[in-house]
Amino acid sequence: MSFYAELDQANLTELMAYFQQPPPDGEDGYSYYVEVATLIGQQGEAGIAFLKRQRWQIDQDKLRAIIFALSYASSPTPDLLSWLVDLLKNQHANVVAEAIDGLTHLKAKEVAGQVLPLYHHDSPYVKGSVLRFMGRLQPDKALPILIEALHDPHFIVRENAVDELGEYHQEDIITCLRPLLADPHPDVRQATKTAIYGTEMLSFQRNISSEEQEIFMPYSLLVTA
Amino acid sequence: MAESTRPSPQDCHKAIKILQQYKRLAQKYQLRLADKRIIELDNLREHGLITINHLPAKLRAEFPEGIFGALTLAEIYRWCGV
Repeated sequence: MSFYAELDQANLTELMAYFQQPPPDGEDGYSYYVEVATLIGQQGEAGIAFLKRQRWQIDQDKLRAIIFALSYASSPTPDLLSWLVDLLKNQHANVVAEAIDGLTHLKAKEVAGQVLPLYHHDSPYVKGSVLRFMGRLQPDKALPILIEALHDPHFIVRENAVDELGEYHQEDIITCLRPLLADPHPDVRQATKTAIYGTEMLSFQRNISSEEQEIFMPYSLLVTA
Repeated sequence: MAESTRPSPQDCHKAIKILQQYKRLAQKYQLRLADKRIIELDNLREHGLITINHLPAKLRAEFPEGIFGALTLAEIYRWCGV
């Protein structure tokens, strides 16, 4: 089942045709193509071969969709990793951000030396992708960078830092997060509230017996929408 | 979905966060969801019927793997003991 239910019954030939056509009226190109490309990638070797042939797309939305789909449908072959690393030099920030996310999913720790300098990129979305890469693949090294990013002028960077710090589930991080409960951007405030409550809940659970855990499972009540 | 196989708090927290906060998370990933899609998703969420399969692939990729399947938000609440 996909985000676009109308694509669910499509076969590979139809999906490939959809990928070559404009997105439906009112739909964002990237959001649409990433669903089509994901379904194509799930069709096995023929689908993956199609996506690989499309790697030289100049359409940014389609290129980003291919990066995502290949990163999730393929194993981390040298060819795929080399292509993603080349894309780190792409002139379009959203393509760079997608390539970093692909490398994160493929757990390509070995390219950290090429990813980390992109934290100084102008785009907050690229910076956000670098924070996700570091937070997930090099959590120990990432901690000071994530804490510094809480003070970034752009809300997307602060939001990414909060979400990643929330995954550490370390009580001492809460002190750094708490000021962002009053962040000017609502998305940062929501991320912060979720990260703090998640951390507090898990800390609480670590300190009670397994029998008590069966009674006290309050965490999801605290993940407010 | 037996109580004895209750998922970890971390997985529950992550799954519920994604099913509740998809709008914020989609923007974080530069996904511009059409207004009509957001209305549909909000409606499913409010009734506890939203599943990970209703959400974009970028968010599905963040969802705890192989644990909750296509359970609804209400079912996940129940399984997680909320």
